[in-house]
Amino acid sequence: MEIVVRLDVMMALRKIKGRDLAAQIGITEQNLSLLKSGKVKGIRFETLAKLCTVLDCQPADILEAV
Amino acid sequence: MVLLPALIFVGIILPGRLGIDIQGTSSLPNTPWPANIWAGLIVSFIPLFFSMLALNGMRHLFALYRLGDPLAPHAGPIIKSIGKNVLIASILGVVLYPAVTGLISLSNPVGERSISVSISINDIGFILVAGLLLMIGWSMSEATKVAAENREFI
Repeated sequence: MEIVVRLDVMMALRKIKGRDLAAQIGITEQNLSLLKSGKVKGIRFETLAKLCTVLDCQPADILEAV
Repeated sequence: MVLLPALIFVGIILPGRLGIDIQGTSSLPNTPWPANIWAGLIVSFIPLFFSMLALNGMRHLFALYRLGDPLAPHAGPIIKSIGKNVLIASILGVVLYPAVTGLISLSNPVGERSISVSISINDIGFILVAGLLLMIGWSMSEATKVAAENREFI
């Protein structure tokens, strides 16, 4: 089983651009891009909480175990 | 680092000119030295070689810190290498001392030859510092690994 990041889906549903999301949660666009592609070892709870706040969703909407 | 070996060489070739006594060479006879004295001097400089390696390691470490990244991946291994070289230099200094005194006094008449064994508080201090450096190097290596892993978290 692995964890897949569904951030791009949520961003599309909320119609928010990567640049805007990165600015609102306080990370670089490059890091947001890495997060979207799942090329990171992990995500901090702090970052996840900010994502959920900005995207108005739950962690399970962003992360999925497949 | 460049000047030290040159000064030592000059100090040995021209004893007394620099006003310092290098490894007791000023007390050696003024006549050309026999091979055993040269051998003794060469053996006595083996620990210095490792001290110079440690000094070179410090140069690399300070160059690394000048870049402003104390947790650079090479910092830990460099500190460990400095500790290892200081440890080798300290131990060799104690272990080789009997060989040095034996070699230097080998050309003396029978009854005036000697082998000395010596360990000073400085030697013990250096060994303790070397051990401490090895531990710090190990800790830094671990810290570097953690920092590298932390950088992969967003």
